[in-house]
Amino acid sequence: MTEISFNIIGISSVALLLISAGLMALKKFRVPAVFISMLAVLILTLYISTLWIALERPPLRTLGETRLWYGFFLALLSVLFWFRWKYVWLFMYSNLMAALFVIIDLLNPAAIDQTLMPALQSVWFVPHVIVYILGYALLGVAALVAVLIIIKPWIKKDLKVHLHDADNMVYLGFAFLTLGLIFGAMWAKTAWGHYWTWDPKETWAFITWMSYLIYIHIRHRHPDNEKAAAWMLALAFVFMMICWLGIQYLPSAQNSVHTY
Amino acid sequence: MSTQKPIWTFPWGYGESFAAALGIFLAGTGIQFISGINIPLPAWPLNLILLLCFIAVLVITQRVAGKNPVVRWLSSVPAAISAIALFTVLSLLMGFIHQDVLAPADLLFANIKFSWMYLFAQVYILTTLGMTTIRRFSLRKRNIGFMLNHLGIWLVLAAASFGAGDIERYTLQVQKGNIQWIGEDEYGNTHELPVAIALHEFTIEFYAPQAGIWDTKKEILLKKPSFALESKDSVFSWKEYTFRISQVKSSAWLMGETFRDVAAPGAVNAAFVEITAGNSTPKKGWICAASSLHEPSTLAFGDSYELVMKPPKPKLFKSDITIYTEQGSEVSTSLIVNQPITVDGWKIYQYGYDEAMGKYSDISIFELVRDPWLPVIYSGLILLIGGAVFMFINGVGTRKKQS
Repeated sequence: MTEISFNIIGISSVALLLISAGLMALKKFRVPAVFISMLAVLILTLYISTLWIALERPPLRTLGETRLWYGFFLALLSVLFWFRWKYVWLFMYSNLMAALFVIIDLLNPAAIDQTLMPALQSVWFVPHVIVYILGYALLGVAALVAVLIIIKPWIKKDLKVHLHDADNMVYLGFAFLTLGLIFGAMWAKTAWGHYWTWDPKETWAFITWMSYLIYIHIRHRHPDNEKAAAWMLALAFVFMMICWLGIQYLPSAQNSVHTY
Repeated sequence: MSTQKPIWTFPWGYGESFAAALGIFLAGTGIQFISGINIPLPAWPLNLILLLCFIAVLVITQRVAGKNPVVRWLSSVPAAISAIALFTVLSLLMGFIHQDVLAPADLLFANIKFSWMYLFAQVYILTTLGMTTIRRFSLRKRNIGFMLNHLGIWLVLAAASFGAGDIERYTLQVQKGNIQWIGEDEYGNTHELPVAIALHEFTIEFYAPQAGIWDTKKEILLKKPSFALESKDSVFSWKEYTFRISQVKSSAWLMGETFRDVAAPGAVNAAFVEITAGNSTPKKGWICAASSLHEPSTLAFGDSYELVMKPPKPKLFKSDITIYTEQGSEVSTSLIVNQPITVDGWKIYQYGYDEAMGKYSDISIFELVRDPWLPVIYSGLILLIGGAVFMFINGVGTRKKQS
């Protein structure tokens, strides 16, 4: 039952997200676009809640489940950012990315699995994963700003994009990464005796955290050198993707406690 | 950044900073290679004395020679970035190369966290970070974010590195009905511990057994479907197939043609299944999981599929124990994963059991950890949480006004 309802919910939320991104491109339909995106957020919220109840555990264990949250947060951020900055491209991008992640989940259906191994049965589980995914969503949007700035000289259009737009997302996202790292450390201390064991996922999370730290320092010291900072921001995003999705393919990570 | 000047003339910028970081890296690698030994980890009280001396050197240098161009450089953003970058490069090496605590020291990058380049990188980052924090030390409101973040991370890094020599970790293996106080460290050496543990009972609970489908052509276990065999008389369907479960046994053994309930080590989850597809003759048979003593059974169907029983997934490990300390205190408790108990500065964890015996294990393994620097680490982490909250509200601010 859950499987069928995910297909329906997934397809309808993808449709809503795509429609809202499309409508945003038309000047007349921006208000409905925002409402449709809000509707998609609502549907995803309801779905995540039902899933949580049906699984009798937080739906945060598998990659597919984290992708669902990522899509949810991107859609939510698109609405929040719209109210804050009114950037058309940002709204469209966030909704398209959210749609993409829900589509990936639709194409890779995972079996319903209620099991949660003892090490995951912790109060830290939910805050640790949620702040990370929220941080990832924010920094994913910031990465788009970086890419736009890098390719600006090659595209003829005079893009009105400044790295300043990314800064607040990076600060927020970085703060979430910091919290995720700390919650993870607290959890590790109660689960296996030490707050830091250089588990491959920890190592990559630390690399990611430090790359954003470098970005923040470059921005702080050289606010006018957007080019160097934009490259750093893009590189940091690559590290973050390795940490989140690439880690399971690394030979050094085969014994990680974080492979799922 | 844009002004052209010959390298090594003051003020030092990115060129000099990265050259310094590279020099530190090469020096560390050289010492590691030539000496062939890992870094020593000073223990209490020597590590505290070293840490206090280090802090004193940082403070005095900054106060007395704050105008010296080298000291100025040490608290500059280029030096900070080069130090973070050096640490990132070492982490990247750890991220790509499999790390092994027992690797010989002259295998340069196989055990980085105990290597000389790691030690030097730590000193470099603690120096630049410390110098910056001291130079900009102020508790004014607009400086709070800076102080929380920089002091917080300094405390965490300093306590983690200087305190590493004081961490004690032992595993303690106890048999049911016995009491044990001889532990083993990570290198396999035995130690008499100030804490003894008596094991009264060890329990494992498993989730309901799950069946899955093996694709014999691709030789993979399909991600979907997965059937939770919670009770007998359940029916599942997949593609054109229908699976009817008529018996489920959680502790069974194959005897002749059939599975019987056996409460003994090596017993497995088993289920009797009937598979039908359209009007074809149904396939019937037992499936079971594998254990160290029992072969798995599967049921082939279709052209290239087999119904298999997945390995059981543990839900709970629990030990009922009494802990005795040298001071004479006595604590009786149930210990489970993720809920360690603290006794006399030792944190005691449910760590393992006799896996070959599975749920019939009469052995429970505990881990005992003592880390006296933990309060300092946590203080640093709390400052960092404060810094993160501050960043939510205020961002970090750029030097717009000056540029």
